[in-house]
Amino acid sequence: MTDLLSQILNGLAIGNVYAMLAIGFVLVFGVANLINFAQGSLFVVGGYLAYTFAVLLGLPLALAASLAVALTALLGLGIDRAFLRPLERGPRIAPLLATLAIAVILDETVQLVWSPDTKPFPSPLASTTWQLGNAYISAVDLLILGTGIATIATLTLFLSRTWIGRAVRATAMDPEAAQQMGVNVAAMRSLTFGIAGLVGGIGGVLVGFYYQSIWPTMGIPLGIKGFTAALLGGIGSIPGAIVGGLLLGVFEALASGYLGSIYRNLIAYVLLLLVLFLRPQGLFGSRGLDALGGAQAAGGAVPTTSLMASPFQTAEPPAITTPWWLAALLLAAAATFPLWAPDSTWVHILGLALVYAILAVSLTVVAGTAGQVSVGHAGIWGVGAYVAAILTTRYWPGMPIELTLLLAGSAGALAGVLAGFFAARLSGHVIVMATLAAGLILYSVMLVWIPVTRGPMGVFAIPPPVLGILGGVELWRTEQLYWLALAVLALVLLVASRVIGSDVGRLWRAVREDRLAAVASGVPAIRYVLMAFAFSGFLAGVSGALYAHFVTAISPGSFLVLVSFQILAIVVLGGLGNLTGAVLGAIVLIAVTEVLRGFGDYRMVTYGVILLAVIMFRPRGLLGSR
Amino acid sequence: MHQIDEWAVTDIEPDRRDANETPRADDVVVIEGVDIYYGAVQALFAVDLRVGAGETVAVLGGNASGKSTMIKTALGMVQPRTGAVRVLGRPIAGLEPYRVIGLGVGSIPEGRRVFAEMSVRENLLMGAFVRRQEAKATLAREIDEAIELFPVLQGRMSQLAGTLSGGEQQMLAMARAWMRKPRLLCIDEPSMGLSPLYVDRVYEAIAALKARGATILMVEQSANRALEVADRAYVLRSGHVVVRGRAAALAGDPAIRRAYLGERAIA
Amino acid sequence: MTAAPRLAVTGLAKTFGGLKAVDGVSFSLAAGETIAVVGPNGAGKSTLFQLVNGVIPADAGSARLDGTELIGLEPEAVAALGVGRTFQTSRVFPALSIWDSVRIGQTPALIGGGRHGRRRNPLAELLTSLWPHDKQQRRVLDAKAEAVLQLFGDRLWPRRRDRADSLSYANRRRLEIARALVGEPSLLLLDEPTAGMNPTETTELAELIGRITEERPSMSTILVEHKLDVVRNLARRVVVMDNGQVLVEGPPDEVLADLRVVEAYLGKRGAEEARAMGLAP
Repeated sequence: MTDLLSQILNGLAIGNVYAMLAIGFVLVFGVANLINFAQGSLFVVGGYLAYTFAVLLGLPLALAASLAVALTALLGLGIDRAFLRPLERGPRIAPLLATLAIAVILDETVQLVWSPDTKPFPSPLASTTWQLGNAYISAVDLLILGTGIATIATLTLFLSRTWIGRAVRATAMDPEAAQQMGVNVAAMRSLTFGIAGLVGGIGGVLVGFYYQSIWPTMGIPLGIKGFTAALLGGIGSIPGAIVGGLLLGVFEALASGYLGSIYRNLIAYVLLLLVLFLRPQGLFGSRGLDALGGAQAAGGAVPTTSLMASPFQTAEPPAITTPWWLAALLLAAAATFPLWAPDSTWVHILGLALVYAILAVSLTVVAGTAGQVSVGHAGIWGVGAYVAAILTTRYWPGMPIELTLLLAGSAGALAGVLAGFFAARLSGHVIVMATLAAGLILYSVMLVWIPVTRGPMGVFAIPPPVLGILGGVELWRTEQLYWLALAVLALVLLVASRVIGSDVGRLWRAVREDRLAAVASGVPAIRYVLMAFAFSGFLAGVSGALYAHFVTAISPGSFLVLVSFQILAIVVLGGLGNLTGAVLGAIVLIAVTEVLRGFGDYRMVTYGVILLAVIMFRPRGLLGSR
Repeated sequence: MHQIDEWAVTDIEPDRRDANETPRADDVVVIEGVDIYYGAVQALFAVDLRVGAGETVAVLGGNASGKSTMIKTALGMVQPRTGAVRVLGRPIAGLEPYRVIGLGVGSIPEGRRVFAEMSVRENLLMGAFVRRQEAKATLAREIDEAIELFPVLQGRMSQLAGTLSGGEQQMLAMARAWMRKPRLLCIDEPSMGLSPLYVDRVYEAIAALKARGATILMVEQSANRALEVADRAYVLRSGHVVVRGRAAALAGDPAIRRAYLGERAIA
Repeated sequence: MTAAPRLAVTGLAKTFGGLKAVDGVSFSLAAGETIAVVGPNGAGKSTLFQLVNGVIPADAGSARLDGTELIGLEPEAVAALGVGRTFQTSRVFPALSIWDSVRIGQTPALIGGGRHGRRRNPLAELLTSLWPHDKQQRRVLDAKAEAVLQLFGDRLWPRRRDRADSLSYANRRRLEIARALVGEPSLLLLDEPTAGMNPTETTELAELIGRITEERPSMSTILVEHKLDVVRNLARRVVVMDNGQVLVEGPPDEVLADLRVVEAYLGKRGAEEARAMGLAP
């Protein structure tokens, strides 16, 4: 009993922080119609700035925290002005991808500036603990609870009692009507991003207090939890966001108290998927038509549900087609590469790039052709890699690679269907959240299912693949592996282009272009979304198996969200749905960053910047989307 | 019978054309030769319209005739490809809609568009947003006046607007615009989707606003209700002004029936 | 003795946030019949289509197609049973070619379901997409798609390789009709097919719709249309809606001269004056 009450109080404390994140999501979602993936990163930046001012510069903690909060608010506002507002007229997916890119850039910059290590966060109070009836509560928990409540109360008062606060809410509810009341909606939008940054800064400081430390990779889990809280409350309602945050905090505290803290994040991700699946409108909202592109689409207001369509532009330039002779030339060059490569390191790098190219093809089919942008592909890829690694190390070291690929692909297809199962009923930006959570769940399973995956240690000493059709030749030389990857890539390209060109591919594109018109024409949209995830998952699994053989040792750390992000950047760079673009994007980006390995720390920032630049200046990619 | 040339403007009383249609210096709205496009689709074709100080002008027409676009033009919510728009003496080309509102315009949008998750009181305060510098006491008094003018809001000040019925929401939208103290009031389809009882109430309220000296530009499908309160009217068909003139002269004229129901309705 | 109706709608209702968009609508439609649904803005005509077609779940009521209940089915299942529709604001697949767009309309015939027998296994569908084997079925579907595109003369067929968003506004509406027709619907729902068209285009499309309904004697058609001239030409029966309810139904000339209809459009007093001038009954 004592334990339970203490857990609940502790959960309410961190729940306050989630509530703040959720308010940020709700406000931004209202005025900009956008899920801001950078919201969690603003928390991280806020926390680190406070740490810098307090610990490194020795300022008093209160002053340090205030400065950090003010700077984070400015950062939130600046991100909108510099990157998001210019994209309002672009494809609908552009602002979303931009916030993803900004999240990665912020997280990675934090790592570069403050190092990837966990930093001790100064504690504002001595570690006193009081007994409260039957329960225990620490002074820090009380401080978090108090600050959180004060912030939320101030914000609520501002939004409900001041002219500008009301105008912000009116803009979030109905920008066009707000404009007709004389409200400058653009200014309200800036203010909203500023407020989102502000609560981000405060939240970051509080998270620091809560864990008594901060680390750079906490942005993504925090962002997902904030989104989960907002979703629980019906994404659009501020009181809902607060309730959602507190509920999530309590739920998580209870789960980690009774199941073990290793499940802490996993619980939140599973909860997110469950809410998305069972009650996507949240506990209080009612948005039954969102899966079909929203009530507006059903009413005819939105002419298409395609993420690549922009509200202001009708026709788009055609994609660039690769002439056959160029393709043949490239293939010939690729096939003979080991013969004229300067050394075998290059062969290894390019071989690895070909493995990534298969993964990119897999993603471009589901995200481009079928229009279901997945950021969970690293998880699916990992499933393929683990299946291949475990089978060949533990059960059948001489298993023919053909069979390995088939099994790894099938496992990937299953994982894909699992991720797609939750995404299939959803639309647009929410799919990204769902697949992100699915990918993280797969990653968490790799981490906690120790008897099978060996947990954080991973699987090593993966034997070289054995080629069955050549009578069991062991492919252990670099150029043999390279040729295997090239052959599989060629086969994958052939298969993918045939499927895309078939009736199935046409139906995928119809679902992407206008889901409402598609279902009215008799297209079972969910079936085709699942088929796309299955097909894409199969290819990702195949790529994962090759990856395992290439690197010979894998661990959960190989399948972080960042890998999903990296592949998304490759695919967007090449043009969504463009197979050639995916392959060239993979080769160029992987090869270039491998060459720049000396600057390894800057690699992910580079990806973020490239993605952001492509979105800003060439949203349909270098070769055009299809 | 008037001439049948489909897109020519018919002045219902040709001898009054100059008196009715020549723009004056103190006109509240002047729309001259305006073409409006939505993408490739042209919604308005070289339309002219003026609203004099103190006048109530109705824009009539069937579905998709372009009448709502007319009001959006006056509010700066759509930008004409050609032609000019002046509101309260100022050309509004390139002006954001919130700045047009700032000139002294109040708007009752189509479909009411009340702020559903705000209370009735907050909705009224949003109506007075541009007057936020004024004394609190003044605004409080005017909220009381708004309740007098729209008694259905009585006792529901803290109710969420989204929980009101359609008719009540329309009254709230009107009260909200009234809180603006506008020098020009734009009303878009006030009777749309309302029961006959509420249509009567809405028109009583419009007549009351008019009696208080409001200048009104309204768009309406239900023609003869609008003609009862209007001084002058323009009838649109497929983006063209086809008939115009004094409301009294237009009421019951077959030209209106033709504009709504098509040529054969006259036969 | 009358045959069982193609579509029987009874007591259909839907409320949106306190507004009764469709409020107990009942009517029926015989096989091969074309009716028009008219009424002022906000009368509930488009919502009626969304309910029949399954895009919006109904609060109450029933809609039976040849005896099969449609309410409660997903839109794709309704389509597979033989209901084709177009949208009020055109919804083409922007990035698909005209040809591909029309082929999408044949999906139920391609993959089964509804009146097309068993739905194909998705895994088998993926695998056979690598080696399409049913050449006979493909030829039949291609021929039907071509025939439907040819209906529109040189408006669509010569442009069949172009993207749908390169089409003019009027051609997009034509494409939508083609996409609905190619599924050989037993019930065709046309939501304001001539909206945004100029008088010449309107006349041309109305003539085409008239020809199509004549050539397909078993297909029933419901037309939501504001241009009453078009209604008179195409429909032998008109259902007038106002405030979510059926006001009156009957032959066009009779119904459109009905005082209640004139009232719905012009308001009560307007109708009285029209009557005084001998323009209404």
